[in-house]
Amino acid sequence: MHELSVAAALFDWALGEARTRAPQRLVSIELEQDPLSCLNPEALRFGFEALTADTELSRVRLDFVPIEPTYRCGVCGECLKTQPAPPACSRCASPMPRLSRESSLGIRSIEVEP
Amino acid sequence: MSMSTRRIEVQKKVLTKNDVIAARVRERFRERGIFAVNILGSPGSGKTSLVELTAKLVARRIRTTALSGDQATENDARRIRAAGMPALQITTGNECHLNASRIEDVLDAPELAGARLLLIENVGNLICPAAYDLGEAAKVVVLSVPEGDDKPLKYPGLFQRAELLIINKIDMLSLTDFDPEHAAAHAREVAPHIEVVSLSCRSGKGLSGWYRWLETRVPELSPLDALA
Repeated sequence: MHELSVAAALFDWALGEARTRAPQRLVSIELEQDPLSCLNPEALRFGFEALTADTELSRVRLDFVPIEPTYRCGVCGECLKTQPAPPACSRCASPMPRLSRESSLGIRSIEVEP
Repeated sequence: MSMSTRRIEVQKKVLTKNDVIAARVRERFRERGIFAVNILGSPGSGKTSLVELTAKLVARRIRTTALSGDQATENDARRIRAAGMPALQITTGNECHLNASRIEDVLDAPELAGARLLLIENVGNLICPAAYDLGEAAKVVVLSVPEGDDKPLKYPGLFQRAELLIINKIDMLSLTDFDPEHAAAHAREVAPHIEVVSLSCRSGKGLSGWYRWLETRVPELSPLDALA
């Protein structure tokens, strides 16, 4: 269950963000998740709640927004957000763009309370 | 969102720290002329056996090192060393995957000095290791016959990130319903780019396909027909 490692990375980031924005309170974090991210949202939520219990982040909510995975053309660098894997780049027609190397769980936004 | 709150755009990856370290590791590999392969697969699929056999194939041709990731024990590194390849064991404790930081930590180990090929045997798992870039040049998935030929459809995240699918334990085909053609078709359905090699680490059959895949990526490797 690598969701706990991911939750720990998210916790570290959220803690820094909450302290930077104090006295505003961090209310929620909106996460973009593609179907190939290999992450279970419930397991990530469980890990995050376990880590934030009894801390200033204990009431922070995680919201998940489904997105398409990102493929990158190896020739022209075009990014394609689509599923299933595209047979060719929509810009230069080079065959078989590859799934982006970057980790796929993204933080889209946060909600803060004054 | 309630009336009293406001939303702030962020657009950041949760695992940015790993991505940054992986990029640094990849640059170190490039500077040192190391071709690094991240080998993934289920526990028991034959990852260590593949590295052992590769040791015998390449030991006198090119300096090759193995990093072996497991939750516990030094067993795999011991097996690989016994096969003639320098090897380091990375024990991850409770973690089900290697991350880029684990690789960066051992980059200056004496076992890696002069290496041109690095075989990183990840922790046995078809899900978690896929989420972590280690800075490798390529990911290779080992799928063994007893696991069933539909695994690429069940775990697309891993197969989509791999350059090569190795179907291992083909010596057991007659004992199962596994169809190598179906496995390859399923893999190409989720990852159209993927190359496929079928072999048996036990009998050595088909190993030349794996060697040729390496040979096209590591210029110092002698052609297969030049091997003794």
